[in-house]
Amino acid sequence: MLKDSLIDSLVNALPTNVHTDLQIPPDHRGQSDTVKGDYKYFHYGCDGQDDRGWGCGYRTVQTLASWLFYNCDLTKGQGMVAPSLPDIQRALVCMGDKPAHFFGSREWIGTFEASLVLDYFYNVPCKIVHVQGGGTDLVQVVGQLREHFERHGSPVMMGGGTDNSSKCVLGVCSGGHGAYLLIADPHYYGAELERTELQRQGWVDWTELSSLDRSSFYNLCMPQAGSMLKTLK
Amino acid sequence: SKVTFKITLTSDPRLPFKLSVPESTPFTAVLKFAAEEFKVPAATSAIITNSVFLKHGSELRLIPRDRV
Repeated sequence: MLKDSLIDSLVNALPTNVHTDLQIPPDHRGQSDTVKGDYKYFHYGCDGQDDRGWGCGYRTVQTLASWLFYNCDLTKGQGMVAPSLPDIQRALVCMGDKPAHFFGSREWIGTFEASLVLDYFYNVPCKIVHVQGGGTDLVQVVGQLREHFERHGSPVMMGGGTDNSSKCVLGVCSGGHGAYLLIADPHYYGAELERTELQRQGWVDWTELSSLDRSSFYNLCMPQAGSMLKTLK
Repeated sequence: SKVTFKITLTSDPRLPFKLSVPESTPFTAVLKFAAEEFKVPAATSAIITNSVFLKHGSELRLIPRDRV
């Protein structure tokens, strides 16, 4: 095991399923669709590496990876809850997507890199959805997310062109004034908090779609793992 | 054997081009060829497809990468 891989005891201490029991928006209509199955909430500094200011995309990748680990019959990566930040960087260099000096840097990644990494470590393909900025195209995303949670169930990574804050999307619902996305924010840094406290402080929350930056394009990385789900024995 | 893709630039879908590569070509290399053709930097571009796997005849779109 490489010495910069994740430490089991730190990963075990991470909060699980941080969206559970979060109150749905008061003006919601119809059902909400959310992630199914267990995952760990990865965030800034959670594994001992201080990645404030640059690691939010990596942390979202780790949350997605943990869901694959807990919920899928994997043909690769069965022993790894999530790759570490150095693991992710090393993989992107190895694949030829990044130059050698990327390893050890503080360079940001996005949803495309996430799709390469999840395929590299777990043999799980991802679908990337691109929403062009400047219009109402974000609304299209609602139907695609509903279908994703229904069919595959995993968290989704979302990143923007001018909105540089990585979002871990755990659910979607419709409300009186538009849709909401259930988002776990990887920017939290500090001691591990209970789920209820993370929710109280807003690190996991329903966000109005209309509050997102309409001038920004958005990409979403949706792991296609529906056919790999563990069967109950 | 070779596989052929039709690639369009999302920001200007009028100008598709066909790319033929050996079947074993890595995904990252397909991106580099496509980016070179459209004269956009591969480092800030990504390719996406409507189907999950790249297969012969796939239509690919070149999109900008997000950085978060």
